[in-house]
Amino acid sequence: MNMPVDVLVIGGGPAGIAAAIKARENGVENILIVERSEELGGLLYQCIHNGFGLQYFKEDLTGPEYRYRFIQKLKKLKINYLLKTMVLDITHDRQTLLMNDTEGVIRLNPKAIVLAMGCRERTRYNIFVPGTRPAGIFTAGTAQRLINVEGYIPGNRVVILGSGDIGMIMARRLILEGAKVEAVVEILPYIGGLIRNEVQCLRDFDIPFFLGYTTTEIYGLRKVEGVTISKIGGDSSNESIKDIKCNTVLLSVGLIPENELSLNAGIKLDSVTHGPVVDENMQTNIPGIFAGGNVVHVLDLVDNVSREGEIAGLNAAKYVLGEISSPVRNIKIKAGDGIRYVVPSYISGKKKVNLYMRVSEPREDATIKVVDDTKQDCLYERRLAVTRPSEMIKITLLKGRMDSLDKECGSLTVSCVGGNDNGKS
Amino acid sequence: MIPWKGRLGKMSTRQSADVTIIGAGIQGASIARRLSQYHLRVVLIDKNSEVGFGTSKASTANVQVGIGFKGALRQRLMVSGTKMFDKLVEEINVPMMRMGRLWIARNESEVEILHNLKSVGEKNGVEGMELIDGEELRKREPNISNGFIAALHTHRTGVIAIYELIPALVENAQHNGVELLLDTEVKNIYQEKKRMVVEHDKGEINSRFIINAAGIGAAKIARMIDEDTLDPQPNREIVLVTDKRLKGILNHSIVHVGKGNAYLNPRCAGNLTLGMAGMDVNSGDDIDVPGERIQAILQAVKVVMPVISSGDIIRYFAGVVARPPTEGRDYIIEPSKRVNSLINVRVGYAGITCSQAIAELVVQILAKQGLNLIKNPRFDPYRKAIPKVSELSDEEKKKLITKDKRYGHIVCRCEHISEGEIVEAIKRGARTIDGIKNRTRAGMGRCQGGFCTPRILQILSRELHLPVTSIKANNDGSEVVLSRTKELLTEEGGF
Amino acid sequence: MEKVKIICPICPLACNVELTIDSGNIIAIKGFKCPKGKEYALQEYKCPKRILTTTVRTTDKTRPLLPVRTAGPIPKKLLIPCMKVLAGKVVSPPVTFGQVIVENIMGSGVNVFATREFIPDNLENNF
Repeated sequence: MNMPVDVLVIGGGPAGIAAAIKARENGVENILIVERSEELGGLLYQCIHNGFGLQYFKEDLTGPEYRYRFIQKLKKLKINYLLKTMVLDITHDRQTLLMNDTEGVIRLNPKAIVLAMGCRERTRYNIFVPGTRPAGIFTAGTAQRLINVEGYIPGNRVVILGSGDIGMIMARRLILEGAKVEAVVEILPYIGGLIRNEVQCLRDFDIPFFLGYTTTEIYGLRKVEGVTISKIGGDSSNESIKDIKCNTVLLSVGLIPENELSLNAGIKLDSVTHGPVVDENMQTNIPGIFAGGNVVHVLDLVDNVSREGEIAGLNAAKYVLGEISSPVRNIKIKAGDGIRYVVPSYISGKKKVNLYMRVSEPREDATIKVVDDTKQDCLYERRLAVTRPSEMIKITLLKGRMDSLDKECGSLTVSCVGGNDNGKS
Repeated sequence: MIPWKGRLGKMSTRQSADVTIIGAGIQGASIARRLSQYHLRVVLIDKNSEVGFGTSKASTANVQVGIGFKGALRQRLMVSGTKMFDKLVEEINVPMMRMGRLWIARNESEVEILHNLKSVGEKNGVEGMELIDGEELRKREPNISNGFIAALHTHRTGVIAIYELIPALVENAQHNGVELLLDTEVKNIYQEKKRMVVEHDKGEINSRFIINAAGIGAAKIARMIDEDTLDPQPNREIVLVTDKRLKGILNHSIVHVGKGNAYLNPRCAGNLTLGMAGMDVNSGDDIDVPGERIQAILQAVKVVMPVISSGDIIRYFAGVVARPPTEGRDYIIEPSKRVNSLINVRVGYAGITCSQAIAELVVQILAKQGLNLIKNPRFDPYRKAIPKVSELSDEEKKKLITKDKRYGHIVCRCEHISEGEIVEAIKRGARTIDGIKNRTRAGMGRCQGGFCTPRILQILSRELHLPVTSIKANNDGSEVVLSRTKELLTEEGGF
Repeated sequence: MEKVKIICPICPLACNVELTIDSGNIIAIKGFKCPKGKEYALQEYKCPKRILTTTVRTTDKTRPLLPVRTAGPIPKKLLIPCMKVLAGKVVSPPVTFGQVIVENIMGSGVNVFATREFIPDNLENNF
C-alpha cells in the first residue's frame, strides 16, 4: 500500500468515524480508518437497543440507527477505511505497522494519528471472584455479540453481576429471547445504571436484584452450576448468604480503556482513567497523536463519544495543516475533593473548553467548583441536584472567565463540595 | 481397527498394540514420542478431549536443576533430564528460556535452607550453582525488596512453554506412527493369555504392555489389576498469572525458600506466574480457588516484589499435582508387582524436568521385559512450530500471508494470534477452546477471550463441520453456548 | 382507594409520582417536578408502553441476524408475544434501512422495521 496518509484513525467505532468525518470537513484529504473487526461501527453494531442520540440528534435511536447516520456521512465523504486490519505497533514518531489478509503488511507514517480503540471489559479475574472456571461465564459485551450478531444464546438460567446499564440491558435481552434471569447482583447499595433501565429492564420483568452483595463463589466443574452471593457487612444468616442456581454468569463490572498501542508509542497514561493524558485539543503528550472516545475515559453516552471523537479529529486536521503544534501545557486541571477525574488534563486558558468529569460518590445538592490554585479564586460554580459516579458531568469554561487568570496560573482544581451523600440512587 | 458388535450390540472397536500408554500428559506424551523411534504399535489414550488437559497446566513449567525435591530417583532423573531439553526444544520447536533461578532467603533459618539445597546439588553433580549475598542479589534483580540477605543462584534453571510442549510431543509422536485416542476412558484391565486387555468406553485394546501414566488417575488404573498402592495425596496448586506489561521486572525465576513463601516465574510469553509452594497439601481433586488463597499469594509475593499488585493479575486457576504415595515421596517407575507388563509411572513435582529421562528409563524397563526394540530408520524427530505471524519480520509475514491469507487476519487481539494459526492448530488436533488456547495462546491475554471467543467458535465450527452449540470449552459438558438465538422462543427449534 | 407509585425515568431526579386511584379512576396525582413526569405517570398507569428492539433471522450465513425495532412504543404486555411472532420471521437480503419487516405487529398499529441495511451484492454498502 503506497497511499500517503495524513490522518490515520485507529478504530472504526463511533469515536473513530466521528473523528474521520470532522478531519475531512476541516480540510484533510488523505484519511484512513483502520478497524480490526469485520464491520465499522464498533459496539453500535451489537447494541440493538435504543437510547442513543438523545443529545446528538435529539432523537431516541437504536445503536444500529445511530451507526447508520454516521456511516452514510462517511460514505458521502468517500473516506477510506480498512476492515479486518490490525494495528500491531505505533512508535513515538508515528511509524505504524498494520496487517490484514489482503494487503498483508502495511507500514505507514501518517502526519497525525487519532487513537480511537475504545475499551475492553473487566473480567471475572480482574475483580477476583473466587471459585472454579467452568464454561458459561461471559462478560456482558461478549454475550451481547453472541446473542445479537452471531446468533447464539449462552445459557437459559442467567445471573448477572453488576447493575450498570449494559448488565440491565442484557438482562432484558435474555428475557426477551426466552431465557430466565435469576438475579442481578450489585456490589454497591444502589443500581449502577439509569433509572429508565432499572424500570424497563429489571422491574418490567420482575427480575430479582440484590444490592450491596458481593459474589463469593462461582461453582460448577464443566459448566456453571450456581453462584453464592453474600451481603457486604452482613452475618452468616439466611438473608446474608444466598445460593443462586444458574448455568450462565454475565459480568458487567466495568470497562478499561485499551491502551497497549499507546504504551508502545510512549504515550503517558492517566493512572485513574487508564487512558492517555490529553490537553484541550485531545492531543496526547506526543505531538501529532490525538485520542478520543472510550480509549481516553469511559464515557456513558455514545453522543459524548462522537463529540470527543470530533474534537480529536478536528485538531488532528489542524495539526496536519500546521495550525496547532505541540501539546498544551499552560494550565493543569486537577481533580480535587469529591471528583474522580477530569478530562482534559491541560488547557491553554485562551479558548472556551469543556471539562468532563465524574464524582467519586453519589451526591445530592452538591456544588461543582473550579478554583484557580494560585489566587484561590473560584472561576466556576454549579449546583447539581443529583449526581452519581455513573453520570458524566460536563462544564464549560468560557474564554472570558479565564481571561482573569494570572500568567503564573499553573493549575485549576475541580472539586465537588457540600450537599449530602446518602447513597440513594 | 476392526469394528465389531460387542456384547451389548453397540458398535465398538477392537485393536491390538505393542504398548498402550494411559494418560496423555507430559509423561505419556514424552514416552509416546520416545517409543515412536522404534518399530512398535503404540496407542496413546486419554479420557479428556485433548492432550495435556490434566495436571500439567498447574505446573510451574520450570526445567529445574537437581535440587529442591526429595527422592534419590527423582533427583537423578532431574539431573539427567534437564540436560535433554536443549536438544528436545531444538527438534520440536517449543519456546524455552534458561533464565536461571534465584532461591532467596530473608533470615538465618532460610539461609540454612539455601546451604542445604546447595549441598544436595553438589552431591547430585548439579553445575552452575552460586551462593551470593543480598547486595549481589539486588544487582541481579533490582526490583527485589530490601529484606533479602542471601540467594542461591542456579544458572541453568529454565522455563518452557508447557501448554505448547505437550501437543508438540504428541504431534511428533503421531507423525511417527503413534495412534491417539481421546475422550477414551479406561474401564477395566485384565490379563488374557500372555497379553493385557484394556477395556475402554469405546472398545478394547489388546496390548503387550501398558504404561500407566495417568497422573491423578494412576491409582485407579492400578487398582484394576488389584494393585493396592496407596492413593496419591494430591496437592492443589493455585497459580496467578500477571499481565505481560510486567515483562522485564524479573530476570530470573524466584523462589523465596521456606514454608508459606512465594515463587515467581517469568514465562516465555512474557507473563509472570505466581504461587506459593505447599499451600494446600492433600487437598484431593479440588480445583476451586478461594478468595483467601489469592490474597495469601499476593501478600507473599509483595514481600519479594513490592511492585507487583493485585491490579496486575489477569487470571488465576488451580490444578492438582499427584504426589507419589510413598513416605519418601520418590518417583515410582517400575513394573507393577501384580502384573509385570503394566509399568507404573508415578511421579509428582519436577515431572516436566524428568520427563525425557523418564521416557528413557521406561524404554530400558520395556527392553528388560523382553520388548523387541528395532529402530525405525524413518523416525523424524523434527516438528515445525505453528508460525506466530505477529513475531515474524515484514518479509516473513508477507510470505506467509501470500501462502495463506488467513495468517493476515488477527483474531485474538491481546496476543495477536491470527486465523491461520488457529486453523493450523485445528489441523494438528485442537477441537476445543482450551485446545486452541494451549497450542496458539489465543484467549490467554488480558481480555481472557472476551473478543476472540465468538470468532474462535465460528472457526472451530467451520473447520470441524460441527454446530457451534456443540463446541466445548474443554471436556464433555462444557459446551460454550446453549442454543441458537430464537430457539428458546420457537417450538420447532430455530434455524 | 389505593395509591400507586411510579418512578419517572426521564431525568436523573427520578421523581416518585404517586397516583391515588378510586374505583379505577385517577383522583389525585402528586410528586412530579415537571409536566413530563405527570404525563409519563398517567400513561404508565393507564397503559404502559415500551419500544421493542430485537433481531430477526436472515437467510444469509455470514449475517444470520438483522436488528429491528418497533417504530413507536407498543403495550408492554405485547412484548413477549411480539418476540414470539418475530422469532418465526426470516428475511432474505436485500433489505434496505427502514424497510418494514412486519406491519402493524399484533394489531398494535405499530410497524417493525430494519435498523440497518443488508445488501450483500454491493459490499460497499455493507461496511
